[in-house]
Amino acid sequence: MSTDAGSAAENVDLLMVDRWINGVEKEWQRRSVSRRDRRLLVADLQRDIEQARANGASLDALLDADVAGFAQELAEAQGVTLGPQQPEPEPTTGNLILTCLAGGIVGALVVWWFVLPIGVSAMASSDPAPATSALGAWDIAAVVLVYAMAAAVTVGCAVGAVWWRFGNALTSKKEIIAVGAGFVLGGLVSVAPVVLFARLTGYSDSPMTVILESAIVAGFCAIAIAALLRVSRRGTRSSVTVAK
Amino acid sequence: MTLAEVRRAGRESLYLRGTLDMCVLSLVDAMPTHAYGVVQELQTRDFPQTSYGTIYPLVTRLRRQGLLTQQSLPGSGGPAKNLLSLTANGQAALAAWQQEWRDHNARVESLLGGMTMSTTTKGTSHVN
Repeated sequence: MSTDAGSAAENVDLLMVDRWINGVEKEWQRRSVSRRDRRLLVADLQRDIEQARANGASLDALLDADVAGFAQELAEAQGVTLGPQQPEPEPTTGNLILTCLAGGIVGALVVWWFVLPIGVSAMASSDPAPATSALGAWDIAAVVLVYAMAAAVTVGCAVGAVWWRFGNALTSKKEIIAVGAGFVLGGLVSVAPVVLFARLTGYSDSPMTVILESAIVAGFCAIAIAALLRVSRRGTRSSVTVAK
Repeated sequence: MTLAEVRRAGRESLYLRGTLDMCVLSLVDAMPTHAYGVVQELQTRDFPQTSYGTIYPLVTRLRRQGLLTQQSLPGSGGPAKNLLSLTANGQAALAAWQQEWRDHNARVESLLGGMTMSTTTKGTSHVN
């Protein structure tokens, strides 16, 4: 039991070290330090902290509270030139929606170029006589699996983009969850209007139709994200008021 | 912490800023160690204001300047041990800085001693 508690505490410590080093690296990124220099600095720092911890150093003794100051001092010590400080992006509703949609577009492109072609070719190769046999349970399951993977990749990219850009600035995980849930909800709700629109245009695949269909999906996602963010922030605010 | 203590800590920090490179080189010269070992050693020698956040960048700079070198030794079960030691340039720099510090210190001491004497003389002549 105590071993479990010990390893749990060890994992928490590792997580805190990782988070702190990420903060330092993000600071270098904001100061335009090249990826190569960042990698070298992070690798050295990680190794040294690991060694210090093995020698009994506490996290309090190692992790400097002034992350920005430490990052600047260490980069200068290494002879790395720092650029002007880029302002930290504000996690406003608009910024969160735009970042989520941008991530979603990247995810959709990955799906279009990789996931669907691979999924379709896998299905074709596993079906011995696709032209003659009717759709069986396995075919339906395979189609559902491919589309579930496509949805997972798109949602993963959308939420990942928000996490990557605002991970340090967001005050609670609830906001990330709200963005992800809003994206999924908006996507689901938009299916009916998009299908209706496609029907009205005679299932045209002209660029303008596709753009309008994408805009409908993006609009529904944006509305759902904004609504869920509002709910999640209201919850946070009222808990802060109660705590006061 | 009183205002006097804050001011004193500020002055101590200034003195240390001018001598920390030399102190670190001297500690590593006496006993090859790692960055956190330097912090521990400084703290046991009554320099509580030093921290890993100060020493790690300093050690990194001294390494880049070619005064310190870091050797990686395989750890027994744990992570590899990275021990810092002085290079030949580091030895030479330490010797030069120690001499400069002693000369500077002697001048300050001499000045302080002279001031004390003249204050005492002034005080005496005033009494007389």
